[in-house]
Amino acid sequence: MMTCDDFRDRAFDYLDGSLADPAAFRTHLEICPRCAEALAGIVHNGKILAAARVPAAPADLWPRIAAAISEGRPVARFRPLVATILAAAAALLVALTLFVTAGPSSRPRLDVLIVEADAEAQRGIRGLLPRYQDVDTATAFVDTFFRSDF
Amino acid sequence: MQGGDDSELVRRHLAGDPDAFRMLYEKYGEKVFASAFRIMGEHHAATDLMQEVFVKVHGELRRFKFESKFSTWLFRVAVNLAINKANEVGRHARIREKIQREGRGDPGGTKEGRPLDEQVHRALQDLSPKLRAIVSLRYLDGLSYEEISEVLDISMGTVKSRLFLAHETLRPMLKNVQLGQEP
Repeated sequence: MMTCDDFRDRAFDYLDGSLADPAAFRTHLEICPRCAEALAGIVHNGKILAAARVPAAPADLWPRIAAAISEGRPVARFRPLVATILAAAAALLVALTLFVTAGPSSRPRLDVLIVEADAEAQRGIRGLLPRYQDVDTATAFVDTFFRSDF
Repeated sequence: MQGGDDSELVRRHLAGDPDAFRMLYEKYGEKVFASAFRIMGEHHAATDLMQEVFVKVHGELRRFKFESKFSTWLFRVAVNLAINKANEVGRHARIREKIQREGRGDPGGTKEGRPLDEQVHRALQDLSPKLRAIVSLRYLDGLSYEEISEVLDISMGTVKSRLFLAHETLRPMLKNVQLGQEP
């Protein structure tokens, strides 16, 4: 005898007409109003869901996708990490080069350089100097290091 | 899902034909967008996701092994990304939407706004992203249970039991919705 669990497993096969023993299924429907209601709900929902429309994709979506592909733009979720690391590395390289090549009195302050770096680079610098709580502390350390006579 | 000349388009794309990928987009873009919209629940998020999906597929098409249909592979990438994204933002967005709906009578916004579309849209937002994906693949894209199982990489039994659960959840919300009044 078919149970409600069996009904649940076979409801879609019954509706598709692919159930091997539809008679047992129908018998269960006659004695179980709950399953009969569930089946009627599936049929009703199916018609409503199939009739519902969704908005069209924006007309300019393909040009945007094509532009992203041709620019070799990475997938959005990876962009911040890669861009941040590259920007931070570039900013640090510029800063360190200036410190090494300039004389002690003309050395620009590193914190000024970092403040001038864009927001993404600043985030990267924080990420690259995780031992320090903020850019100011890290800057003070690097600044002191390069200004000392050694 | 039609697979016929998709493999040929993929081969042409891999051979350097600049139009082949656009043709694949033209063939499947609307369907993928529809699924993305259903799962993400929001037009702007679905648009962003589409860009991410097609850039990703373009980048990974070289690894396509022609063992499955291109359309199955495309839907797998799109639906899994959509489910993950929807899960990330889902909880907060659902709460926000519920507040808007209940507090201001905001219908939730399908942008095009037939009552039937908005009622379905609202009802679907109460499903988990995984259930929304199954409902969308079945009733919007018309995939068979077997194709859905391939796209989501789950057994046919799981497809059917999730679909049953989705219907049970939707039943009270859709029971008073009637067909035949749409323009």
